[in-house]
Amino acid sequence: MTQQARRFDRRNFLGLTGAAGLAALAAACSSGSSTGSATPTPSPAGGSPAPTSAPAPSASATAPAVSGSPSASVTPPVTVGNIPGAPTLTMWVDSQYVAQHAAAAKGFSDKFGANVKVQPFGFNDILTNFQKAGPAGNGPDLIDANIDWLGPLQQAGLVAPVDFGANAAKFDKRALDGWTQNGAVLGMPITVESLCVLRNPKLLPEPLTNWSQLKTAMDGLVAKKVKYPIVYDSNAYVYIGILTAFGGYCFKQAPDGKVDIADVGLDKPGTVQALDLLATSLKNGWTKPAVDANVVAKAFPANQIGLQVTGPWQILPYQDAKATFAIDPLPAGPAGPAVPWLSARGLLVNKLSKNAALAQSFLTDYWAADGPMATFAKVTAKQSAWLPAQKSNDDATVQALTKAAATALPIPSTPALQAFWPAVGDGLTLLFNKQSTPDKVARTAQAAVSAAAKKAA
Amino acid sequence: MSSATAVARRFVPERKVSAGRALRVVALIVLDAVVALSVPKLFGDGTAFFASGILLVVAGINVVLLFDRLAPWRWLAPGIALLVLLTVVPVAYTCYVAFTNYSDSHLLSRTQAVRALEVDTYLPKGAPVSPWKAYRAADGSTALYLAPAAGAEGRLVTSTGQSRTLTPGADGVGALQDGAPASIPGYTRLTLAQTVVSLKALQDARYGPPGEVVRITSLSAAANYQQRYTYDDATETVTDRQSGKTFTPRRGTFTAADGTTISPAFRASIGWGNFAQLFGDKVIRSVALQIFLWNIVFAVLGVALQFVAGLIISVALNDRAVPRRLAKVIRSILLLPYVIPSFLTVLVWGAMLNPNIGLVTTAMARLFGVDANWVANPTGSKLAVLLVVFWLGFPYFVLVVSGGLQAIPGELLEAADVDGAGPVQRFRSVTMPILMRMIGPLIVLHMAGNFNNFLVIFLLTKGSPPFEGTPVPAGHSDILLSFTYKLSFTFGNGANYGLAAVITMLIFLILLPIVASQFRYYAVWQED
Repeated sequence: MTQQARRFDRRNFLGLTGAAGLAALAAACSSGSSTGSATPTPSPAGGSPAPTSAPAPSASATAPAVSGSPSASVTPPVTVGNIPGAPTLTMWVDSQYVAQHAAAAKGFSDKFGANVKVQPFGFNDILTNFQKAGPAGNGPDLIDANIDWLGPLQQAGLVAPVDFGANAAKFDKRALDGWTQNGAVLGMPITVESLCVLRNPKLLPEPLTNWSQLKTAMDGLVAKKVKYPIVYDSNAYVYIGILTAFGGYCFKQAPDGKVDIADVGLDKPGTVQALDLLATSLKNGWTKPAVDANVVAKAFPANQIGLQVTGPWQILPYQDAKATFAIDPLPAGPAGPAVPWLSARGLLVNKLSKNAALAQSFLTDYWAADGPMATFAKVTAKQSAWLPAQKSNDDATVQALTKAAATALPIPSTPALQAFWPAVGDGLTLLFNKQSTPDKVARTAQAAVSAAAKKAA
Repeated sequence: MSSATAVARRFVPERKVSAGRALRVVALIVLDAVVALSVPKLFGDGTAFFASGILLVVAGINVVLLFDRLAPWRWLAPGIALLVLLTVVPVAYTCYVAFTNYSDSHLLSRTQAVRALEVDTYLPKGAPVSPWKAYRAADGSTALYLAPAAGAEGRLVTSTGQSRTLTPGADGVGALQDGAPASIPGYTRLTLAQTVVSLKALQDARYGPPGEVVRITSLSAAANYQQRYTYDDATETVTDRQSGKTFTPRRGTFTAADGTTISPAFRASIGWGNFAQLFGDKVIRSVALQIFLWNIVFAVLGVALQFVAGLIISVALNDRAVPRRLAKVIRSILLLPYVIPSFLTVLVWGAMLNPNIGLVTTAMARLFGVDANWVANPTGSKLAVLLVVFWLGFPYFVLVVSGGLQAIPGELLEAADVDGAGPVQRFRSVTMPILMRMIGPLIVLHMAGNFNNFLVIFLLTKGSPPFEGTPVPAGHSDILLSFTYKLSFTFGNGANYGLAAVITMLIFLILLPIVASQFRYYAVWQED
């Protein structure tokens, strides 16, 4: 009896280990195939984050350039050129754009006789890995970066300035301004991005040009029993696009891109008005809490969303889902047009790179030209930071996005910005949960960001 | 111990140089030589702790191998070595980091910061940036032809410190071709491919006479770039040659007399600064206390629920009324939540608890009229977290308790029967005491483990909902570890390892007594 029991136990145990193994395997496979899409998910970049979820850590919150392409998968590194004896430039890029970067590097390799190794990373992993490997001298020669990384990286002494000479005038000034600190250009912006409103033309034939028209539009949609008349991607990046229309701001930004980090405007009347707008939308049932990426992915194609205040990251998923949508600029408000943040992705040179001169040439003598810039913008379906390429792109979506970003100003690159994401993210969560008031949310965020600004100054 | 030494003596004859001993000494000499040679490298920036650990281990190996009296220790040595390298060193390092300002803005060591500063250059006012082409002399030295600005003459600067003007098309110098003379007597012009191949050497070389040294920064630019910062080892100060200012290190930042600072800053000891930041603020202190209390509730209650459910299910399945085979099938099915990777389970629960599309929340709203967004309120989020922790862990206790129940000798239960004990009395007086002796330590260890169950918190609620009006990000369902994560990596000016180390130290101190209490249980089995 005991013998038999033991045998049974062993069999059970074997079955169990088998099951565990299978499960582990399944997990490995699923994690393998979903890395590309899973990486950006926790960040607002990967889609509209839930109002219940805090904003993504630090820089990631501002990486709208990461689109949550579900088809992306783990990509191996690509080496362009196989020239024996020639130096090899190593660059770390977002795993979603490896092919595009490799294609761009091909021209450099052909013309200059150097090899380029394109190493894929989850976009936000580039920053953390570079911060670890860079100081030890093990960093790559170039990395794929966003504006708001420049502050921390410059502070850590990891960025080499780049001089474009006369070519500097050919960049979208806002992008280059964003990439400039203390008069030094810290790399090369390639694509720019900002916010937009996605509208379902079947539900709302006309765009919302001013927030004052919101009530009429919403009442109409409520009457039509639309489940989510308006969705606000409730992350701090989107929030800037709303509050600036009412006269609020994070850091005071002059139209020429100068940022005064001592002037924090998160408790200005305009900011509170914008928060009131959100609270009102919630109270009147125009919007709902916890509408995250999973929810909108189903709801928009099913015509359950009238308007969504979001960014370009939402476009690809909707195109894939065959949803009908129109791209509008953000509505203006009592203080005039909205001034969302412009984020600019590009490449920067590792200050401790052993191939510093070649890496500089890669940017100044090769990339900063019409050919590579136009091609890259085309294949990534993004708005270029290079003016000639911006003008020559005839893609309707890109043109609509360019129009929506017309009033945007570069996102500040001060390290103090990193206090902004969690402070405002938490505030919005509380507001959407009806656990706080616009006043308190504004004051708390103001306190947190001012403290960080003082430290960074 | 002494008897062990005696045993060892029998196997290791003393005062006799055996081949084995000679081999041992040779091996030791080789090991020591390798370590001695690499010590300077080991003690590089930021690796001092690890290097000390290695030295300690190597010294230990030397001692136990050289003294035959310590032969029994040779069996313990690998365990102790691993203990030192994998536990003691990291703990010591964490404690050290807690007293430094190691963070994203103080990322480099001082040596690295100085190295980064020393590569900084500046261009003196009015100095021209010229396109260049490289040439190589027969002796291997290189030279650059600097294309002239309008109205000036081209120049040849050499790596041997010479500089002279060149007129293309005269004095044997070739005519301009692609912006530079096609040939220069005594030199061969490098093609673009050759230039790229030797670019590393070219960028490190300095051209022209001292005072007007030219260096290249890219394939198209060379100029009289000058080193901007110099470091004085004796005074530990940095001098900015462009402005003439002197910067002295102050708490990890090179600071001038007028308060201006330069980047990068470096890691430095700041004493109790991190502790003051954490405990000096009343609001943070009260938030940290609330999180700490909830963390204890979370750890204890979560595991207690798992255990109670596991106990009830196992006792029920162990009942004679349940057919054996059926019990086994049920037990196997109950194990499923345990073998599915927990992060998947947590994500699935997260979806089920979503107020808009979640299965559980919408069903509850429809059936009982509960607010679908209940997970977003402070108590609701805690309940949700406990629910998922319970779901993840109870199969483990079904497994363990079932095993324990089967190991209770049937005679004891029969004896209790004979003595007239009812089922309840039997369970209380016989089953429970024996069971608790067996799995008591497991429960306590599980509680200690659950104390740091970051995964569930992070994937399910991320600590949400946030506390209102706090200057730091913290939520009602946060545990200390997730609070640490927020405080250290998503807040303020980037990652703050110093602050993280402080809380890590605290968690270590909290868990220490719990783990130490295990020794009492181990003592149960001790035979003397």
